[in-house]
Amino acid sequence: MRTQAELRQQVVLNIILWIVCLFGFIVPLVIVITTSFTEENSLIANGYRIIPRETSLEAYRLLFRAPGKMIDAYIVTILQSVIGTFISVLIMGLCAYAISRKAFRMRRTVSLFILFTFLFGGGLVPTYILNTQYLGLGDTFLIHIVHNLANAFYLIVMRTFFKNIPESLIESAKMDGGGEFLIFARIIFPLAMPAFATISLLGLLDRWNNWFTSLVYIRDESLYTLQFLLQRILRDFEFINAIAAESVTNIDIQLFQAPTESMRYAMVVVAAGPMLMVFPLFQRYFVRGLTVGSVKG
Amino acid sequence: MTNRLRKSATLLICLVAVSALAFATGDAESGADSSEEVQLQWLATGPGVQRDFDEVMGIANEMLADYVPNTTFEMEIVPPPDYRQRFDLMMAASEQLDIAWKGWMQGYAEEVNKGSYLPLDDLIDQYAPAIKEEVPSWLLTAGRIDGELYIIPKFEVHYWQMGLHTDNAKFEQYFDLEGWMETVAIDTPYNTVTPDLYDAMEEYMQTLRDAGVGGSGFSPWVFTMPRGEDLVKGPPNWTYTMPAVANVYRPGYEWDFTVLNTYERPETIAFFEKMAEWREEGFIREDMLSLANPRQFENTDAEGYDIWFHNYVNPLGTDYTVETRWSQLHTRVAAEPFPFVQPTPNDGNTIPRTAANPERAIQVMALMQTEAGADFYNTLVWGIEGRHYNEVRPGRIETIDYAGQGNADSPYGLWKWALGNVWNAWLTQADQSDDLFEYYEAQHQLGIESPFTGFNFDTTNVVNELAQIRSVLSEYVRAFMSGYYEEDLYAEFLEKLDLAGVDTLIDETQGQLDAHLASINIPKTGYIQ
Repeated sequence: MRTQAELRQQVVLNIILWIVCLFGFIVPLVIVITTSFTEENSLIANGYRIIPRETSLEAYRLLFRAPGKMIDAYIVTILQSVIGTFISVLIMGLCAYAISRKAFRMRRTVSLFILFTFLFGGGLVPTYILNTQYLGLGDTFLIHIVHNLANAFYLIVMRTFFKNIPESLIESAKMDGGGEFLIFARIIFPLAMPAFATISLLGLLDRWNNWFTSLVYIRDESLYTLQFLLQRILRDFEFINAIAAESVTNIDIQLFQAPTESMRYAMVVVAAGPMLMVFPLFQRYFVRGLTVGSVKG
Repeated sequence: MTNRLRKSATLLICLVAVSALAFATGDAESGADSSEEVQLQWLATGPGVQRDFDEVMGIANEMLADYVPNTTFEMEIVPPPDYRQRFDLMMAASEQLDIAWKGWMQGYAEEVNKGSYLPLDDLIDQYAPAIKEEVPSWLLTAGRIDGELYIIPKFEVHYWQMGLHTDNAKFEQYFDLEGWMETVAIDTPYNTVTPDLYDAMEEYMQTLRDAGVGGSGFSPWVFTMPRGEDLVKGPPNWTYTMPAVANVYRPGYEWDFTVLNTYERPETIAFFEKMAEWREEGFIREDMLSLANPRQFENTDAEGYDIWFHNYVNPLGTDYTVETRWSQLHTRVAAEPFPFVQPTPNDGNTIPRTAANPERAIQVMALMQTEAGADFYNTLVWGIEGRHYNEVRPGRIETIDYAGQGNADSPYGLWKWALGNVWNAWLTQADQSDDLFEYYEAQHQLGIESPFTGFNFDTTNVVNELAQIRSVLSEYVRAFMSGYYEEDLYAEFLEKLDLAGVDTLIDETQGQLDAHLASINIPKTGYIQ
């Protein structure tokens, strides 16, 4: 039996340990946010600080200097992330369910094809040719959705998860007259919610952070994703700063001296903020043992 | 193999074969017949798609009908950071591209070796002879590889003359201009920073410090490597140079074309020693090595550098120039007696191998390079009068909403140097003098003519060595430039350069340079300008 004093000591130690851990996660996040509000020269002179010596909204002002573009980018990013993830997870779920069923005679062949793309990608150029010259998806919103609609790795993860669902559940549903789609929707989907939630979150993060599709396929600025737009703004300013420093002129080029360092952090806040709010929504699905108790005696 | 597996394999092979056949079917089109309607695809760099871009393109296309009948164009603007990737992807996908800008981020010799560009001589002679009449042959020479022209290099400023930059108020009060000019005039066989010049710089910084107005000393990031033309072309890295160099000899001195290892030259070592000395004395910022962009203090704030080097340009013909930079008056004074004229094909315009209509493309390129197409060129660059610029007088305009060159937020305004011959561009409020181009022309005439013009180093045989050398440079050189030179460390650095294959690189450079000199009939010994 531990004494009251020992117990109290352990509680205090635990609290201290958790506070230290919490700081490990929270302090960098706070520094990112405060740096984004720090005046550029003060940042260079004084380094990164939790409480900035001089604050400035200049980085945000420059990022949002063309609010229309930023709003477009948010809309495109949200739509492509949500729609793309939904369709992608649905397709991968249906496919993974089919190849997880022993009753499907072609499951090995289909699995082989999927595994093949997992090991050997088509490469950028053939994919680009297919998407732009054959499917006509270049510079369209659809490229954000269709491109990478199914991911072989996620598909295999889902198939493995479905395989762990007892076959007897499906058989009993069949005996009750359920068809494949009904079984998938009413039996498999609820039981596989953790797998769907995990793959959805990973897919959503992939799509939210995607800038490469815009770089390769998109020319119309209103179809840029947020990450690409932010990256381009920063690179433009770096380039303009460089050009301004080299040029010979008799005009005041103060406008061009952009705070690129604090802007990087403002970009992190602008880009990561919405995802930080989405993450807790998925958290409750990350639980195990949903099938416990679903099969009786 | 089971039946099922065999079927799968057969299906896969069929799919691959069908795809290969489908991709292989391309169509080659020619625009030689002038009655045929063609649309050119044009890839250029610039600030991205601007608000009035489509409207200006519509007007430019209407204008083009008068110059090159039955021809329209579609232009895509890609900002420099993304340009190389976009071009490479279009080439790999064999997309139609009739005119393409070539940027400093693309190796010219490498692209030519890959077959990215069409040779231009025959096309120019047949369809656009005006190009060779108006663009100087010395500039076109810079674009030749094995005698063939693949690019029309940017016709702008092609000389470099080192200048010292400082705050104007401090300059007026504390700078010993007469003493400086005497030091600059010291005769040396080849371009280099002399010990006397270092002394004069140190004296000025010390004077400022004694007067209580000193800033953060010297910024050693431009022009500081001992002068001598960088022979290894390619994307510039932050060192501004590569280990293989040859000196640039001044008029009256015999040229020695031996390729040297930059880092074994006494001038380089003297420079690093001087930086270490200045760091001890506080003329090099203590935190310089840790700064993401050490050039960020090249301004005249209280924290700014006292002095730094960059190009000297003085179209007004005074003893020094005064300009406004970041709301502060700023001065440039010459730090070398001669400009050095070195035209390069670092950027310019080309006709890619995937061009469907090279004959029409060269005619449009001629408009961008010659006086006959000046209105078309200026419309593409500056946009519509009253909306994007106002005319001050013939040949001079004032741009609206921006100055210098358009940015992503400007309603319209492309970059004149990316589209054609800058000599034909209208002057704007950013240009100091009406005689700007005459001044540049005079500088080109005055300067040391580079025997390296047209020498385009081909890195193909030394790709691995270059990668290793760059890795070694990135590990050490920045520290040496920031004042952290030590003999032992330097010996270790030279040893690593040796291991990385610097001698192979120098041998390769020497071989290619000798071949180049032979091709332009410059003797290896006894050459004097």
